[in-house]
Amino acid sequence: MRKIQTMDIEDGMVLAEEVRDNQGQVLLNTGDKLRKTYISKLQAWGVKEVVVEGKETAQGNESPAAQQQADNALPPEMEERIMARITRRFANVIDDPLMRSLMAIAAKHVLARAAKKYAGR
Amino acid sequence: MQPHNHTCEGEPVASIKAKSAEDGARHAIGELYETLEKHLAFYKRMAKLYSAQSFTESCEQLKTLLAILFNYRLMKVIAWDAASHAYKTIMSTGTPQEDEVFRCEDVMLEWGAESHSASIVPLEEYEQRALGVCSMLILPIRGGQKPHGVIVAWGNIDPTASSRLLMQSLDILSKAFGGILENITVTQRYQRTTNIMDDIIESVPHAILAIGPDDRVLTCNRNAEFLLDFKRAFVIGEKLADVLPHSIAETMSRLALSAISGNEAIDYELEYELPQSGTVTMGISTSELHDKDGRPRGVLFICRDMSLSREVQKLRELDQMKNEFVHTVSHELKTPLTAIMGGSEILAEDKEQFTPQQREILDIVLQNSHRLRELINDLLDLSRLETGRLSLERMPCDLYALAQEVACMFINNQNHCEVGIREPKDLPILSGDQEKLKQVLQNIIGNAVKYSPDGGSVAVWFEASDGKLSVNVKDHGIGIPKEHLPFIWDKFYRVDSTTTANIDGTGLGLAITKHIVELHGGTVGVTSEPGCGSTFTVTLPAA
Amino acid sequence: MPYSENNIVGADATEEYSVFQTEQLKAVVGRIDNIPTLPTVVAQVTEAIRDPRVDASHVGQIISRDQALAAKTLRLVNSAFYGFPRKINNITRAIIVMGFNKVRNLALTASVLDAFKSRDKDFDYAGLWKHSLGTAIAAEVLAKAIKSSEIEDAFVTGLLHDIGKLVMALYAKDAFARIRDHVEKNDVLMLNAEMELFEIDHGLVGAWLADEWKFPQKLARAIRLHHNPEAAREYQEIIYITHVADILCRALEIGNGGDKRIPQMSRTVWDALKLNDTTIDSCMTEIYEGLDKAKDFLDLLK
Repeated sequence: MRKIQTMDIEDGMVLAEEVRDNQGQVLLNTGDKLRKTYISKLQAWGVKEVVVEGKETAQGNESPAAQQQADNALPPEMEERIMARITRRFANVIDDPLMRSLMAIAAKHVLARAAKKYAGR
Repeated sequence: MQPHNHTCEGEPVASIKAKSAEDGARHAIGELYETLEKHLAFYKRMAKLYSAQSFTESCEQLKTLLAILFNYRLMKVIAWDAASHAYKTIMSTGTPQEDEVFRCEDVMLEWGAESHSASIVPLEEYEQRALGVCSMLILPIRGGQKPHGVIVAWGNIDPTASSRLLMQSLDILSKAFGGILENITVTQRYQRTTNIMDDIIESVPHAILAIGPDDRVLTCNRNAEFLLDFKRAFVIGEKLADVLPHSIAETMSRLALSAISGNEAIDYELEYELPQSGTVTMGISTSELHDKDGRPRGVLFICRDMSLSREVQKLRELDQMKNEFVHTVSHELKTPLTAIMGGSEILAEDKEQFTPQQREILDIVLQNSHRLRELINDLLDLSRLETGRLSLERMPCDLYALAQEVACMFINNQNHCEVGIREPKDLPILSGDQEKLKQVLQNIIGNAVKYSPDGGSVAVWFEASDGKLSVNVKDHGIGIPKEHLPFIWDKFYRVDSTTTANIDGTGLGLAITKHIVELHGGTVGVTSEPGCGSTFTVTLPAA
Repeated sequence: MPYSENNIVGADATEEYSVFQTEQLKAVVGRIDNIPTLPTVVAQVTEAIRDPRVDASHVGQIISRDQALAAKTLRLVNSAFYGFPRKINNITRAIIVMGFNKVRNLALTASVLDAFKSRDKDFDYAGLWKHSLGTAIAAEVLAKAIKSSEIEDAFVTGLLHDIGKLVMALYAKDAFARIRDHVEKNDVLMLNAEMELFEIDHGLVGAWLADEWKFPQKLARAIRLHHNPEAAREYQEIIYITHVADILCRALEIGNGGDKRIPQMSRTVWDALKLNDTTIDSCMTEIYEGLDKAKDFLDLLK
């Protein structure tokens, strides 16, 4: 997640931190989708910056959707290989639903990290 | 030569060692007690922090608690302000000038906020000279998952002399303060939201009233106080029936029940008398009240004063027109009817003059004229009842006496039926419209007689309990089949059958009876067994 | 202790080692007389901070007696991993900024790492240290997430939980080689191979070392029972945290614990720590973030 100026808000950005006015009243919640039309309203409330999902890019203001695309650009063979490795690792304990969901969550993170590495190489 | 375990003076070395050991032990214990006392004071004081209700209160306790552990020159509470994305000092024990001087750089604050334990930071040389203190205490304020901010205090504690006990106590203070702050923030945020809603509810120009599932008032707004003429403080928690006039409470209870079963009312009109302002027409709208999770909490009433709206004007006009019509009808229809009846009755006095055939015709004319008059009267009655234009003239009534009067009217009836009234014991006097109640009794006793077999008997008895009294009329007539029972109170409803075909009646009697009884706040009921007879019951509230 | 095919738990946790275990231990590590001794300083510090009234300067003096250790500790304290914005130039200051336990743990870490320097080509030491570091980070992240009171000690416990493996790798080479072969051939947990061949596990070996080196009791227990947390009679919280942290670290494929399998997470532990999928998910994110920050941490000790 990253901090951006209110005026740099684009449609589709997702809030990573809730937005409050200077009284502490919650204006927008974590997870809310932003729209350009909010910019003037937020500025009227005195909100100068917001924290949105997505990683730092060169320009710093790519929409998170585009970034997600970039993040997920892992070649299918690599993805398969990783999944196979993970599945083999969990082979003995796969009967336990607890371990199964753990595997799912871990796989998500491992793949994301691999994708990031792949994208950044 | 002295043995080596004696000193030069001859004292045994061992005993000197023992004595100094003893002193040492005593000293250590003394120190222990001192430390213990100090920390006991600290923990006793913590209780006050835990019971703080506001930020200011918790800061007051913080000041005292921290002073026990760390004699500070100045303390600040610095929080992360989400709106401006910066650290703000939200409390300080110093003057604004001092605040300017005693500052903590942002990187330090960031580090402190992320930390999970207390830290004492020794100040640099130049800082020490500038501030006159040698160390800075940083306590993270953590509540929930995100850090709230930091407590920073400047003082002269010798950092190297800080004990683990001190650090742990500081940790505890930091955690407690964070927790309390979290609670207060949550409560206040909730209250703020609630307060705005409160203002909105008070400003809405209609009466808003909420009742719980047990018919008890949950809350209401100021307009409800005006419109319904009560005081909020006195009605909260009370049942509707206990705080509103009977008719209104009853109507509202009925509407509430409908609302819960899915039939929400929109501007249901109810007229009622306000002692000071006269008649008010209310439009009541209901909706089911749910909590955040969708669970039913009760019913919400929104009552409009209809006398102000345009629709009501129109309605009033229509009403006016209807009244005039009724008035006209009553005269226009009745007048020729009176002439017909008058003439026929005169003729009937000289019946012997006529041929049998002529006598028969005359009888038919008279019978039907009576019937027509009854019908017109009933129609007018019913119309007045339905528009609510009928008002009761309440006075103390003795139902028993009324019943006796009515019974007399049926002494020489066609079926040679005997009407027996059981004398009641201690029948309470009720407050009601004597004429209307007589009409009710006339109707049900009359029906009983009408439907009795030849030579049969009709029994009338009274019952009283719980502030209510009832009059029961039983006949041994043909009875009413079960499927017809719910509908007999509807206007013009006749139970179709050959046996009843030739029994007179307008078909309006029971409808009128029901209206009158309900106007009194009572209920009607019937049980019947085809072939054996029926029992009609009218229950009325006592005075 | 029930042993099932896929779920072999380590040796049990009775206070003393059984006679049998002692024999087995001797068989594995008995030939070790060249295990370096840990600087006494660390043990002295542990002893000193048992008295809550001990002051920072006193503890600082103890550590400073071993200059090299003090220097190493200070390097760790000043690393970007801790992110303190000012330079801390003596141990006493480190104590009051970081806390007694943290500094003690860092000193412990520094001395242990010192003792285990090796360039042996047979075994992937880097991989094991990465796994240990990953477990350390996972343990701290987890402790913070569940608001445990063990936040201070989670890191060092995670870091040293597999110290037994290191002992065997360096000082019981033959035994360790056999274990590695068994793991290779049968694709099982190292734990399983150890039990199969020697009926003791690396937890027990590590615990033995912990005793030799007079580690704090809590640390020794966690080392001993991280694969068998349900046998814990005391210090459950830290032991449970270490158990989970080890599994999370393996699930995230951080480093190399010596085998390619995942141990079964104890249901008791899962429930006791009140874990759920959401917590695990956010922990995993933070673990990767922490890993990135901690790269310089171990480098400092090489």
